[in-house]
Amino acid sequence: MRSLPLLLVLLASLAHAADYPLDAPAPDGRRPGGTLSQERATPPLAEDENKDLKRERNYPEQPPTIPHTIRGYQVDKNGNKCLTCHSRSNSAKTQAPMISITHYMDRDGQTLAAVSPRRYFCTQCHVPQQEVKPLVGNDFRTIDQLLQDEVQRAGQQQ
Amino acid sequence: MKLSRREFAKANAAAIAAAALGLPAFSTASNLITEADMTRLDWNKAPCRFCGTGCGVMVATRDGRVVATHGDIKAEVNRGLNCVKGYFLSKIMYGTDRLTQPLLRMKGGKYDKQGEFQPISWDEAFAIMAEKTKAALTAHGPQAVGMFGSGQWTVWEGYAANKLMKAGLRCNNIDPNARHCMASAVMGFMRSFGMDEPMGCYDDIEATDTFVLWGSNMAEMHPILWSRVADRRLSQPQVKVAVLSTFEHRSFDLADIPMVFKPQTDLIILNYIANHIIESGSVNRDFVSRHTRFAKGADDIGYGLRATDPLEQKAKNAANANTWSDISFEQFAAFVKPYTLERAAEETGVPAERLKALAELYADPKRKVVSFWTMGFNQHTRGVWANNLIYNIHLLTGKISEPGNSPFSLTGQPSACGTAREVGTFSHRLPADMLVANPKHRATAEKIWKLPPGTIQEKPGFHAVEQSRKLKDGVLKVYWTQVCNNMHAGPNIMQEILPGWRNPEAFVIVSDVYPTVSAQAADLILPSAMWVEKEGAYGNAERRTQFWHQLVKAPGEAKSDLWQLVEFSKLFTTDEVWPAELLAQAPQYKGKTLYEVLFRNGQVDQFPTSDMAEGYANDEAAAFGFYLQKGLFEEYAAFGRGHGHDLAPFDTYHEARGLRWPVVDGQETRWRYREGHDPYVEKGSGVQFYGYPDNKAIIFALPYEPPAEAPDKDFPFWLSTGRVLEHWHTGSMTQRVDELYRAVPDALVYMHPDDAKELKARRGSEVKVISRRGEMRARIETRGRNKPPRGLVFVPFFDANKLINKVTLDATDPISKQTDYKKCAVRIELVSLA
Amino acid sequence: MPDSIQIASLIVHAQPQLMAAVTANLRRLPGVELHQHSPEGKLVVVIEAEHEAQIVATLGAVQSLPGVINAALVYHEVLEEQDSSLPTVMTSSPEMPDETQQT
Repeated sequence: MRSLPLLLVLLASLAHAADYPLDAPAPDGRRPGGTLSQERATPPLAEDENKDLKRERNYPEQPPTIPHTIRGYQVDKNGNKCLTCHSRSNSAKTQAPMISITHYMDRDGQTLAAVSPRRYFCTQCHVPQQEVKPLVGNDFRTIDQLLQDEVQRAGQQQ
Repeated sequence: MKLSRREFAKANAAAIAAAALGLPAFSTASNLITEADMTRLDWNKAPCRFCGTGCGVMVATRDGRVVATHGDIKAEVNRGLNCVKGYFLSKIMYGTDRLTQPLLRMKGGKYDKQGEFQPISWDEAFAIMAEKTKAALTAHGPQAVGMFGSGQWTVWEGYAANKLMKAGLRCNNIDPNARHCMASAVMGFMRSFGMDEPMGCYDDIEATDTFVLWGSNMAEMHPILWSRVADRRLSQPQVKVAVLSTFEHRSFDLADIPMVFKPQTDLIILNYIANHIIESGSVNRDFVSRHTRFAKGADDIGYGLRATDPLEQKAKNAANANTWSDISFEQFAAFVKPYTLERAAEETGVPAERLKALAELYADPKRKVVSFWTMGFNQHTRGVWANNLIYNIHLLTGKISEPGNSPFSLTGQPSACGTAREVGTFSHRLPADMLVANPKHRATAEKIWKLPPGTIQEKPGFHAVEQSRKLKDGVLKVYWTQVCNNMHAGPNIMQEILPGWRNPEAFVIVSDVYPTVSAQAADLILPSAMWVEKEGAYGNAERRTQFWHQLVKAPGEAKSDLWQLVEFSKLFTTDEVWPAELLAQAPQYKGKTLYEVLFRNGQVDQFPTSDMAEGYANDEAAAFGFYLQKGLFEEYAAFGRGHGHDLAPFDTYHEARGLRWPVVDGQETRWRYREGHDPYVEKGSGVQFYGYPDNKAIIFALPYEPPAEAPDKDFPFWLSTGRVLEHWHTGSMTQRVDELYRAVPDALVYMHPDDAKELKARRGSEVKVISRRGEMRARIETRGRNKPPRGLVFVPFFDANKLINKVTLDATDPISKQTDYKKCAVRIELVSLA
Repeated sequence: MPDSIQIASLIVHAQPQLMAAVTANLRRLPGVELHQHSPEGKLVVVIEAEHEAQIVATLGAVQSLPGVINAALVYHEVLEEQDSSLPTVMTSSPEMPDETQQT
């Protein structure tokens, strides 16, 4: 394959450095403010949380996150390792949560005997969680929290 | 009374179903004992905020907050499914660092380029923006002002921005970040068909028996479309899936024919397939003779680098890259003849039998084929050519514009099509595929906008990459970006974008919802409203236009981009920004503000607020006193109605789950250019590519040409960049959702284990990725979801702490001006073994 | 006692002229509650069941009722017994409700 590396070396040497500062103070976001030109040390790879404890959901429609590691799981057109525990037929003996019956409906709402192929790739919706602290907080309030807020407000008004 | 969770769950289940049917939320059941008010959630439809798939979601609100989201069962695109990002939409607005007031860099109470950000009022913010803009216009003319927008703008936001810039300020330096995303797809369509956007639609997925993914990793980037592909493949035994990429990724899990090719050699494979179709006698001769013609495109067109770059100076046709001349079928056949199977196998690294199997999928007249592509083709210094070459294959076999036969260009942003393309927010375009360089098109726009002839400038403005260069060169003095994060996502940050934005001559304004990397590099930050905090419209990759209502209020003083644009227009009078000759042709506009001329023109302000659907807030209508969104939409729709881009009446879209244009007599169009589906096709013609006056599509002879940069002994690895399933683009929204952040917290360097071993590194080692332009640090992953071949690394770009675009090259396709983020040369240095 | 209860909702499209018969038949199915309906033949149905198989069976029964054109599952939630027995909100009391956990 032809390539043109020499010319690019020449180009790089022509690029001049700016004679003004590139960093300026700024609010922290996911990255601390005023650090854009810098390269910062990276945290070590974190492990997947692997405690098999069900996690609280934000709302019932949220797909549950995976409370164990799935490293090395095969999910392809030849097989689906997740279903060996979570399918309707296997969950009773493995004690793993059974996947919802919504997963047995096809695109037209018809019930199937097996998991619908449209739901076959589990990781499109369900993800493991690594043992890391969030970079930025999140103020989302669940419906339960909102209802409690309302009750509290109603109480204060009395 | 006590309200149990069980009763709440029942009420909620009923409300979701009722919302799907469009029935009132209140239960009429007598056998359900609940206190309606305590359990009530308001469910409304909205399109997803993320990718170009355009899934429908149902959004539950209560007390002015979004409390739940759920896949819309009535949305044709996704029928109740969302991907993991879509399921977490509820949380994207609630990051604790939402921007809630304008912030200006100041020292000693005054603006200072090196100052600290201080809160100011909107009036103060607009005052300094106007002062800087007017000073730049007076001293240097309209070319000194620029705007960078987005395929995430709502339709009316993009339209208002386009009008404010191209008509109000008479400046064509407005471009969307969609330039980085699908400009090559646009130019591919324009060259092959004379008209933008796909002919088919997602219904092709259920109608085909072959999927070919060209560089696209739909399993991660278009998960819901992938679920439809998987559904088809796993439930119909005859269906085959071929996946081509420069590294192995999740979409390979479904591949019957997996192919990993050397970067840039997709051009060879495409020409080989055309050659195979001809040599095997599989050309659909009737289709080809009736509906196509042949052309040879200009070659040796350069790499879209700075004009001073030796590569550009050496290129013969850099200045006329988008030109071609007619040839015959025989000449075309001779042109592709050297692209033999043997050559293709040798140069691409793909085994010959797989290439042949792929070619036969296209050649087999009994097989229907859908080709999908996104950034693999588009982010390519020959991206327009790649688009043209895939159309060649579908045109030669006649496998186009009918159910199941579809070359399908996917998009990355929710309104890349709806806003960036259809509204024409590119620096060279006007709405409905029109061009600023075309005098008739300018006249049409000026007529619809009720502006004097000559208002719109003829010369195309600066495109995305050029904007960064012009900031660095001190040509652009005032630069406003909305709904995008170019300091993070743009190429070659260290040599071009950062020096450009921090140039003391430049004043940079960033409208955003969070302190993104771009906001951190700005001089003025404007807090924006997002998604269901405003009324909106997006257009997805299958031409589907979708609306949503404002469902909650934006926090603090945050305002929609639309409000910002329209309110800002009040600070300019025509006398300040238009030359006297122009004003003399329209004396009625003398002394008027741009707000009055552009938005109180009797069209945009023609719908009263009483036209709004009851029960929904609309902060923009409240602020300006009329139904601004409807007025903008209806004025914009005038560009396309009767010209192949027909949109339905405004109110229709608040009811429907989106409609695919052209919408004629209330009917959407699923397959364009095909009689019986497309109302613009004349009776008896069967197929009509009416984008060109002769109703024919063009089959292009275009060669393989090498990439701008390739590995050598100093920089021995290919670098490819891209996205991940769990984060959307630069991660500004998704990295603020705990569950998504914890799923994929950091960008990793995906590498072959043998390459890691040779570097004396291993999984988890920290390395520097270094190019001739910059470097970044990250950890190696050798066992992850992406499995590169030896000699290539893949690094995703979502991570604000690991900016891979410090490393990428700002080479672009010379025709589309779209950056090639998929190919440059890097070396890897070990920092710590870990 | 079951470990959990299952809540699901369906949308049903029925022939408008047969609505009376459809609703009468629906009321006879175990665990079925009728909610909103429209004159065009759209109906919202909520099912409570102990096992998911009952929901699937009920869905099948609804689909085969005379006059029903189509029935589709919209929503499905599994409630652990612990949750469903706990009061979530006391609307008349100023005191804070019990701390509840949703799983």
